[in-house]
Amino acid sequence: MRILLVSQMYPGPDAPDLGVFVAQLAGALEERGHEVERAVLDSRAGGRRRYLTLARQARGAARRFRPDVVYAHFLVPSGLIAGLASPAPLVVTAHGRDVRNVGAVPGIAALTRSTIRRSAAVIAVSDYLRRELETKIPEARGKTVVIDSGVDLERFTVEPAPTDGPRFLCIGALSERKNVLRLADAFERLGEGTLTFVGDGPLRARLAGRPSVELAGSVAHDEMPARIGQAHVVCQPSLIEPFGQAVLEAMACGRSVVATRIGGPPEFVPPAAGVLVDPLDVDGLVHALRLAAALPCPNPAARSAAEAHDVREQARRVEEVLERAASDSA
Amino acid sequence: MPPKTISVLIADDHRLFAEALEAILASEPGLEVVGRARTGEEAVERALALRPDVILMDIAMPGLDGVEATRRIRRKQRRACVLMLTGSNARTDVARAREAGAAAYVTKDRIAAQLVEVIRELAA
Repeated sequence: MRILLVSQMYPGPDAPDLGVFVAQLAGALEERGHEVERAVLDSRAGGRRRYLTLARQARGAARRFRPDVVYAHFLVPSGLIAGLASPAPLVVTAHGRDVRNVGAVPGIAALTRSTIRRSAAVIAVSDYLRRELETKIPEARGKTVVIDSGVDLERFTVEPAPTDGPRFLCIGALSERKNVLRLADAFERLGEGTLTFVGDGPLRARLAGRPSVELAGSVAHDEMPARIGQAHVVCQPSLIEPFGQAVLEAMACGRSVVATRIGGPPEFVPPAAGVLVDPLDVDGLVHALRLAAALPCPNPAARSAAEAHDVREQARRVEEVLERAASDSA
Repeated sequence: MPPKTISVLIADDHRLFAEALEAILASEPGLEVVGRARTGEEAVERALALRPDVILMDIAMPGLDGVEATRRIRRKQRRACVLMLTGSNARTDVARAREAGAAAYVTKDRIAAQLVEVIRELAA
């Protein structure tokens, strides 16, 4: 198949960690023998004007490449732009914020509805997200399937446990949604081990200076397997996590997790792989940290659960959706 | 002699949509987007001032909608050529667009497939 990939997030020289999950899937589709042409934004710079660049790129690529199918990541703006740029059948993946924006950002609901109508199929990265999308945009019903972005099991491999600990790791923006302050409070009450935050954001100052808490800042995605390998437990007790990519990658490394029960994690974290928490319950978080630290490290149940989400298998499932869209329009 | 450039006005209240559409039309040879309007009132004002060859008019804008804006434009400029952008091909939308004097309509999910061709046909 000739696939035109349109994404507002893609890793590039200035932003090697931007939309890594999109690049992984695109690479896996190429490995399966498909031609993939990319119209992508690989930098965070440029403000709103960069979407015009994406539109021009997508239009140019559509005319030059003549795809059998267009595969966009994020409903708006990428999906909207992809649908305007090429007459080929459109498949678009919803990742989370794009669905959250519906009803929260003025005008986005109408554009999302228009994108969904234009799409032959929609992919949601979790069943939680599918339900949210279908509630907000009923037109998505009957055309939405659940396929997460998967994990590269060859990059995220099982490493031996660190010798001292317990070491807790939290990966993600230092933001309210990631619930980092409650996690730090819970860790303080636990009173043992270390807690490292990988990522940056507006709550950095409120986390700085806490005993046994390290703020590592942003880390390239390439370094993530090693970072995870230095921890016993990876924590993502977000207020909402549409899927939970970092949780899945941690599990692939054989690490137990403490994950939010709001969103995608309940769909792929079995009890033997970690503990699901109510993100607002700090007492529950303390208990979860203790329970997760008592699980084996490496944790074979975590690795085993992650293996069901191999990016190559997810690419095969995406391929089925793309092929169906292309053949239905032929 | 090179063919005449077709001037286009885009009237749509969704800025992102209008900008993306402009970026895409700008890459088409022989088409030039000469302006954008975000309301029906603005569409009337710009259409009368700019006199574009084709006006792309969103049917559903808050306040003065695309149908009424088309009616007002056509009242003052009988030759104005309005191409209505509709959310669906529901009979009511199509009928309202035609009654107001729109020369054609394209549903938003068919823009990539039809819009440029229809603009060229209308301007011919």
